[in-house]
Amino acid sequence: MTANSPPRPTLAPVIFILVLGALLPFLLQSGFHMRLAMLIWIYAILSMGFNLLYGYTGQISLGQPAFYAIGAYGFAMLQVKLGWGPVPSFIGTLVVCAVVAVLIGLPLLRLRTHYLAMATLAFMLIQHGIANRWIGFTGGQSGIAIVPLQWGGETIGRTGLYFVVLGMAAAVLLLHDFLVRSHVGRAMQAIRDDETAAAALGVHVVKYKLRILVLSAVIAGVAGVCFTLTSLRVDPSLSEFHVLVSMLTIVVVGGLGTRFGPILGSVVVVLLPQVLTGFGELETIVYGAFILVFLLFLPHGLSSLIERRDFLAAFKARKPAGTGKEAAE
Amino acid sequence: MTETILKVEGATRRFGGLVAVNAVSFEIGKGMACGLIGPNGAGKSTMFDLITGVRPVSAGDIWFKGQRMTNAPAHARSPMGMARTFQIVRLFRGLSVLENVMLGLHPRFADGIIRALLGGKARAAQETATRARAMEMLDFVGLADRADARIEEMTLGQLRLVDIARALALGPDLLMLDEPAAGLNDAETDNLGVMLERLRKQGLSMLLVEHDVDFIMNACDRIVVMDRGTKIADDVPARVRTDPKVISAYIGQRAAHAAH
Ligand SMILES: Nc1ncnc2c1ncn2[C@@H]1O[C@H](COP(=O)(O)OP(=O)(O)O)[C@@H](O)[C@H]1O
Ligand SMILES: [Mg+2]
Repeated sequence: MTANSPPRPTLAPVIFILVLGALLPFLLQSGFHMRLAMLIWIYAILSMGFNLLYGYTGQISLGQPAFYAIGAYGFAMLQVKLGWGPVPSFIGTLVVCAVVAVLIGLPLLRLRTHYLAMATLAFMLIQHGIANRWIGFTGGQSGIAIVPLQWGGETIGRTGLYFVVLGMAAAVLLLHDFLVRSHVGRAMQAIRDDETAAAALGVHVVKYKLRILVLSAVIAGVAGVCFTLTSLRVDPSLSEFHVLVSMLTIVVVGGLGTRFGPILGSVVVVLLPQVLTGFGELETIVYGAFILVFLLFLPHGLSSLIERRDFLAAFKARKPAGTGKEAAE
Repeated sequence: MTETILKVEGATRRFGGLVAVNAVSFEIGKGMACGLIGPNGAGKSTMFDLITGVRPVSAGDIWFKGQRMTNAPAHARSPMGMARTFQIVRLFRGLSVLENVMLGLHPRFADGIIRALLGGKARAAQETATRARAMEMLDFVGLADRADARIEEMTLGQLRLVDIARALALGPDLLMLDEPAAGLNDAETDNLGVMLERLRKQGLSMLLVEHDVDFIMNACDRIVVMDRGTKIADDVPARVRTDPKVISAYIGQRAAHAAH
């Protein structure tokens, strides 16, 4: 009889987060607060995709905002230009994201990390250029407007829209959580930590990288669709560096490669500027200082406070440990 | 001789102008423990890389269980039944000890994300079985109580054992260990020797690289000796020990050390 294996992580925290999310509309009074809540979920979706790709698989792709924009534009354009309904437009948009990700991923995955970062950044700039300059196609600076979502002939109100966004976020959260706790998540982390050792154990490294790149692109597309659903228009501002910086801040503040980092990080990144408006012109500086202080004291992100093992490790890491060094030799 | 499990035929590997492995051939019979020794830089670790497909050969062939593996990628070779450890322990630092061993069982899962999502009960059962098997492996190397530990909390000796547990998880037909005793203290080395003896009794074929000559002479049925990329001896331990070419290769190394 062998010893019992350690307890497995449960779904409980996921359910807790979703219940909290479902209660929010009854707790928040103003429409402004509801908009912030939806924005948190949208950023959380985007960042979960990035977390799978970078946090868990170690692939630095900066193309996520571009897929976010393709999701947002695609959803609007399929409705406005082709007259498709919202559901076919949603599906069609995700298919476009997946196909573009495959086309980019095939050659890129042979390149080393920094080239992947640069090439995906270039892809983002190209996408941005198209959105801005190809006015006949994308509406240029003024963008494209869509009609609000309907249900049974009636426009869905703010609360209904919130639940649509929450539903998308729930689906992505469940997917994210399932993957990272499964053999797929183990393979992803193995690739991140040591590609050669992963391959020697039978992990098809290139195939996994491509799969996760495509999946994260589709998830970014879902976030983009949610953006269009809530703002009712798309314009080039959504693909600007702002989205990229927010996404990077979220995963770092929340904790890279952690189960709930993207959600915790999104709460901070969306709400912090609201709290800081009192600082007026100094807001940006205070915001930056806050993030810096945060990174100094919580280098493993907010998740490290919640995911016990990380928390303990963070403390142990402060003690001078000899054993780790020998192993790294 | 019994059935051949591994056949290396004229394996050659060049790094630019350097020939790290030069037309080396040898065979390992089923159930045999074969030692691979030689001075530093002889090409032993590179030979491991060629056999497991971590690096392609520049020339020559690798046959495993009667199949030509020369062009098979690394990820296709381990599911065939070859498992290895690395000279410098390469465990995944973001995963727990148990999860590292579970990765050794990765090929048991149906491939692909969609299949994982739709896997349902079968996948869940596979996950449970994988955990149980990984715990069994940790128990075998005496580390079941460290299953939940992080890699950086373990000593080098323990890490070598985790690495071996991970290599054994899939139930390989050939186990390849690259200097498993390096950095271990005497007690740990003895313990490792006992474990290898047990595996050998179970009929597992092994290829063992080790610097500790006494250790390897005890643990192996046959010894292949390499020096500067070339095979210089291939015989039973007793004869290899007295082979003048082997002695001079090792004396050469000592002289080089002394000169430093
Ligand atoms: N990646 C590499 N690039 C260039 N030379 C290498 C590489 N790996 C090994 N070598 C060289 O190949 C030779 C054999 O190395 P190795 O197989 O590690 O020897 P051993 O394991 O017997 O000590 C050495 O001279 C080493 O410097
Ligand atoms: Mg070596």
